Amino acid sequence: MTVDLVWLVSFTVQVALAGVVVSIPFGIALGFWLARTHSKARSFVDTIASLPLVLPPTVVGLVLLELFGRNRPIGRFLFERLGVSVAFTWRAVVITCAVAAFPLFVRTFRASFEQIDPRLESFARTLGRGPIYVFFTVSLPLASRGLLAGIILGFTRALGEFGATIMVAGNIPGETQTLSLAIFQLVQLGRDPEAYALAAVTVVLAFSAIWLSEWLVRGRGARVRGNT
Amino acid sequence: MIHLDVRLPLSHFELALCLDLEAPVTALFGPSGVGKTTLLETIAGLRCPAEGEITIDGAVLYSSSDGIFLQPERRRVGYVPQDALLFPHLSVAANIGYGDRRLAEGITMASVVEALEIANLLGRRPDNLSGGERQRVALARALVTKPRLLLLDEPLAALDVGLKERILPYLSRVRELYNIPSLVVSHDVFDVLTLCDEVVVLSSGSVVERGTPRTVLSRPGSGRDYFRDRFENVLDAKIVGHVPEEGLTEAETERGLPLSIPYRAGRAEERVLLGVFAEDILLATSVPEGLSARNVIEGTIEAVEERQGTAMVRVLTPEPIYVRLTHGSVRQLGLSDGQTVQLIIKTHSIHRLG
Repeated sequence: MTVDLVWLVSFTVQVALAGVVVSIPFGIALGFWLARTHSKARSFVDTIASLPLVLPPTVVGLVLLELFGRNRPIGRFLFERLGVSVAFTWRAVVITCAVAAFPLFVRTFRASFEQIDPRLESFARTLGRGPIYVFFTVSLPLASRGLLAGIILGFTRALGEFGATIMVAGNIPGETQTLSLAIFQLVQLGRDPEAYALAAVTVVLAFSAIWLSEWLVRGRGARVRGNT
Repeated sequence: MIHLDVRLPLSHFELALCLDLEAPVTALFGPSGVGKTTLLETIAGLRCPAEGEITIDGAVLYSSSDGIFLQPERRRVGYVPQDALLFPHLSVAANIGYGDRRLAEGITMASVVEALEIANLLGRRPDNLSGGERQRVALARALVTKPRLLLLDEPLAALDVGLKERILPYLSRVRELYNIPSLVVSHDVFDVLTLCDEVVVLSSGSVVERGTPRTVLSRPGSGRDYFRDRFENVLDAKIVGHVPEEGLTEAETERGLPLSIPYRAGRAEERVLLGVFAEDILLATSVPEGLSARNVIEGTIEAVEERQGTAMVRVLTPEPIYVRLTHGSVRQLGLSDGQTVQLIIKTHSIHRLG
């Protein structure tokens, strides 16, 4: 096995980003619903959404394999109708990233929406604006700082995804191998120094992500407080 | 015409009222917790009643029998909540421009900004506006959508609004310029007299009284929360004579209570509405001597109500008059129902309301 660092880093960041992008709309929709609903199904739905966070990643991987394997319902449909195979391809990595980040999104997004006075939203409608317009112009911008923090959290979680990925996507160098999978393989092969080097790269990535979020939050904060 | 027929069970009572409002500006009166804000929210479409009907000039906003519930964004009812509820992430200009203005013909943004004198605030953020500025911005934001009905929840009573900043003159201007029917929750006697054509008094979710501000306000008690900061006794009186050399005008209330008030030229028999704050009246258990105060009135205590160290004593003079005392004074004087007392009111404590 030869380590192509540039490929590894760019692949890992790309699948994590793609997973996050796939996951965010669902996370926002569910987080908002949980923050505003009075439905009895609320705590049940909340629990289901949190499962990927509390279950062993291998179990999550197993469930995904059940769904996306080529002989499984969704996997077969995708392959036979669209010619797309998921299991053991980069697509499976994106899906595991999305699933890993999702419960973190739901929890943090829900908390950010809960901090907004819901009267602002209902009041906005008396000005002649429908609920969707109000959502995008009031709820979303007011929650943006919390949403951003949640997105960074989910992104870093996706960057380090291991257990579910190895189940559904395998550990194929140059195809599905991410940084954390490569580190695992290098250690297995007894190539510790290279493993440590990659570990250092993940630390840099994680730091950059957190630093970026701090910078964005502070930058926004400064603008909001601009006139004082 | 605004037709309200609303039944909505609340935690302690049921909001149940049937009202046809035709006055340009109606005041909604009553102590806190009787459902005034709930009623406004129901009209605005933020709450759904259990049953009833709400129409504005024949347009149905809500009808339980026809299964109609118009969403708030389609009601064209402007609502200015007590705490203004400005959007904290938007500038003042963006706040004002937030609403849907497609139907707002005849009302330009510029004219509203000018009428409410907020041009210099447009670039600011809501969190560094004063209480009065915030209210004006909230009012402007509602106005520019040209609502069919304007709901104002205690715009005149916000706590952090200084006297100089009172919104009343702006409301009078808005009334003149745009002529939008309004329903105003207010407790301030002067404001209601200046601004409103009709007063509706609510108690425990239903209408207990309605009439012109003059008649309703001069009837003591009338649903007003007299434990609020300042309570104003309102007396409907007529002028009986002038003594300019002594600086006095003599007046007499409907029930025959004579009062000396500061001199102001005017014709005899003129009807005046007089205000005396409950805080400005002294109470004595015997007839005092050597006082400068011109009005020493004998009366009988009808009721003493105490709440949190402050007491409201209702004295029948024959006009019922409320006097605010401390708990200590009530105890020291040993005041009780049926006792005969003297009320002492300085001439200059009595002012004309209208």
